[in-house]
Amino acid sequence: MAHMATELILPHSELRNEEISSLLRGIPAAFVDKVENILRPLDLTDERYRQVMDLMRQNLDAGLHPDTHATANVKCFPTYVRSVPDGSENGDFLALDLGGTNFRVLLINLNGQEVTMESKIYIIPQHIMLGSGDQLFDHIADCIFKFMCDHQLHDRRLPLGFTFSFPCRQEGLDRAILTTWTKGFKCAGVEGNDIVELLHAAIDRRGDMKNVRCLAVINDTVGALMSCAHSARNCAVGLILGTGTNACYIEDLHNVKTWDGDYNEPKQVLINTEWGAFGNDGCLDFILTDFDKSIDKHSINPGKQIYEKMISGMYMGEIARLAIERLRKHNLLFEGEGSYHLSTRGRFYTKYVSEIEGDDVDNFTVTKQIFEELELSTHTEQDCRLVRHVCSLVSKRAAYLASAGIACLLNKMGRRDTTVGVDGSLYRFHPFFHDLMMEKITQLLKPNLKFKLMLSHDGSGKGAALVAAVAARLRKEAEDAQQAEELEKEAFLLSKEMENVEVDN
Amino acid sequence: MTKATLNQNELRALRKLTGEPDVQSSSIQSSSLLSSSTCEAVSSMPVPATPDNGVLVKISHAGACFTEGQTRNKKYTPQFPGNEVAGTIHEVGNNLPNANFSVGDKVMIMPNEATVNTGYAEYVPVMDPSQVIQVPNKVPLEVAAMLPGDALKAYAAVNCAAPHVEKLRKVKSCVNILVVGGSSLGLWTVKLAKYMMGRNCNNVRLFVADNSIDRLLTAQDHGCYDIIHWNEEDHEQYIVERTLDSCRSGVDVIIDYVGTNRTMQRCLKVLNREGLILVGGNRPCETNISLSTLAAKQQSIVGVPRGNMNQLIELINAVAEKTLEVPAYKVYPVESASHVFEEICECRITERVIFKFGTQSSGHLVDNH
Repeated sequence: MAHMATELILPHSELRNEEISSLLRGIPAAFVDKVENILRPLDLTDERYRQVMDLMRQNLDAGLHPDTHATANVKCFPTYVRSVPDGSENGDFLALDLGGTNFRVLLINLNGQEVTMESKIYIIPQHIMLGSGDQLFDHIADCIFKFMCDHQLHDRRLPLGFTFSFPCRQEGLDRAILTTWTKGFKCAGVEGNDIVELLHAAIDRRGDMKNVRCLAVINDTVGALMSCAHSARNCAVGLILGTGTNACYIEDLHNVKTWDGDYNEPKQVLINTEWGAFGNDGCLDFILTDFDKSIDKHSINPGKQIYEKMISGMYMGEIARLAIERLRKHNLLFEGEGSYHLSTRGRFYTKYVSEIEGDDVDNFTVTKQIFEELELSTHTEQDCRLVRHVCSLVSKRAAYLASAGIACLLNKMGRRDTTVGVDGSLYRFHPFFHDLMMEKITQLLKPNLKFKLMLSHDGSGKGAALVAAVAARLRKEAEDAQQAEELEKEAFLLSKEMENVEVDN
Repeated sequence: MTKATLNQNELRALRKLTGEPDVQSSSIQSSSLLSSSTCEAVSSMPVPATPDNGVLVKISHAGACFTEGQTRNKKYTPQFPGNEVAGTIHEVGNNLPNANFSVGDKVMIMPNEATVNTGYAEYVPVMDPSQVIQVPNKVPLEVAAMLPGDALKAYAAVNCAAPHVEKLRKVKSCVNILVVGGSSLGLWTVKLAKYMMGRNCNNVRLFVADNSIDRLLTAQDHGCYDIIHWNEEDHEQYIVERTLDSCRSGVDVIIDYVGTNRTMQRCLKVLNREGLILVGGNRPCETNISLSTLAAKQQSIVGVPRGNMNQLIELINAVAEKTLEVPAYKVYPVESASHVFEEICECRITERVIFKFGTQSSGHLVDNH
């Protein structure tokens, strides 16, 4: 019994140690061994996480080098965003946020540190998610139009930033080529094309929104970073832990061997790692469990997004369900009695993991309610404890894997003190995710480096506005510079003429 | 007394309705239709006797009624004849003066708990003739069928909420009403709210929340102010945030037709001071409510009252005069009941479904799209 307890104890807090040992109190050793055998693959050693961190580093380097970029799994796309906000961003901006079944239009006012937002969510019906690209962008343009009507914005020229949370190869601040649809979208005629162009084409088709022009496209990780940096200047990493997982970070230009832009100051650029695809080449097979393999096999993108499938909210509930079902089939849970719901793929929602782990261990009220919702009529307190244990193993593995990735980025950047801006339902709503990550990153980080994890509020809205503000400022500076150049040229020609006139005289 | 004989199609449909499902716990297929407790498939059913003091109604249309499954394998349990029945007078009781009813009159039946789920039947004896209401000629029977059920319940809910809404309208610039449940109850609520407020409705906003995007889009077509996706997979806090985001200044009145522990907790989190929640779900559910919070915020929780005869008569007249718009509906032959119930549960059909009895001769479907 004692050896069982130590293997599953988390080093991070006394409270959790007590919880774990109380979870296993009073259970016969034979039972415990059977449970342990089924769940052990989910409980990775410290050494394994270190290996993951090292492998991530190799993958990042491959993504940043032109020789290996094409075949690299972790693509490390440059975003063309060169700096974090400098506080001079002021004014009104429009922002679009597309990342799933909801599409948001936002009106954002930036005034120093103050940010005010008004937004509206528009649902994207299934048939549009699966229809043509033109239909999708027509729908988006329609939503923008409706929003502008509601807020009487038609006669205003507002810079627009677009948070487009799908894997893209950027060729400029306002040029992003969709590499592949994810998260259930499948619109024809978009992959391989510039989404800003498609948006502008839809707007032009309407003819009634001449003042709307998209100045910048960003990814939700960039949004998280920018939004966090608005209040924490040393923010250098943006992390998404939600339906999917991804991270971006600030890289020195000379490390970005794939860079094709200018080398002016600042000599850095935000890199969108698209790290969800880490492990697609099999390099993570040494930690994959049967549960992971089953999920991958039945997913709409088998063999892809391997790292993501072990971490993100889209799959976490399912990993727990498969483990719970295996325990049940071995008569270790619910006396072997399941339910239609428990045997349905995807029915054990990821939110249950957060809710069960946040439950009170004396009464298990929420856990029992969830069992009722799943129509599991036979359940004991022991079942509650064991299901909670499964959930904690799954969430801990996810948190530690994400931590390995973050530690890798922090170690690579080598900055003395970095803030990591995090957004996403997993991070926001899971009771221990933050603490687990703090603990693991600290363990894997180089000794002289410090870091903070900060919840990034509404990065997709605020972040897009901030980047649009930067883009607007850059555009204005470029226009001013061009104007100044032309004036200089005119002045030069004029002075030449005057010289000639003088000479003639 | 004539015997009613069923043809082969009706027979097959009834046999399917009575069959028990063959579902193992490992099965992932959804169960086939289950019988209501007393449904019996017989090769011929005798026409019931006409009550001396009542009438015998021949059913022509019945709204698709079911309760959500409670046990391990049932997804839903259909109810026959249900609480939305309309038809024609087949025979008048001997003791009744013929002046009240004539054979062939179009009528609808006030629902009665005792007779809601007695099984498939073509003829319904009604003991108390006051429970039978004449349907004006201009109202088709498929529309009349809907009124005694969901329309009446929604009307009772709206009437119950109305005084509260009026009180708030006097002091607030905007009153937000949230309807939880975008099925036919929700759609009727949207139409009835419009009917009751008439032209004077610009400071009342009606929101509809549901788990199904398809149902929400249908609700939007019916003219609510906005729709809110209460996706069961999302975290509770996220759902609450989204709701408050859409209903800018919080929610003043909530009509919860779903009534689960989760919907109730979300309602409590978005309800304003002095807010009112009307509870109208039909599944057994328990939830925890903080009494001190309820008292501190001066909120109220009320069960949706049962609709009464006067309200039903108001409804049929409003429909006849076209002052009340009827929500979208679709008519299906009752033989297709098994298949149609599946479609409803999967949200592939989002309009109200009405079954037509005796469609063997006429083969066409009716709807109001």
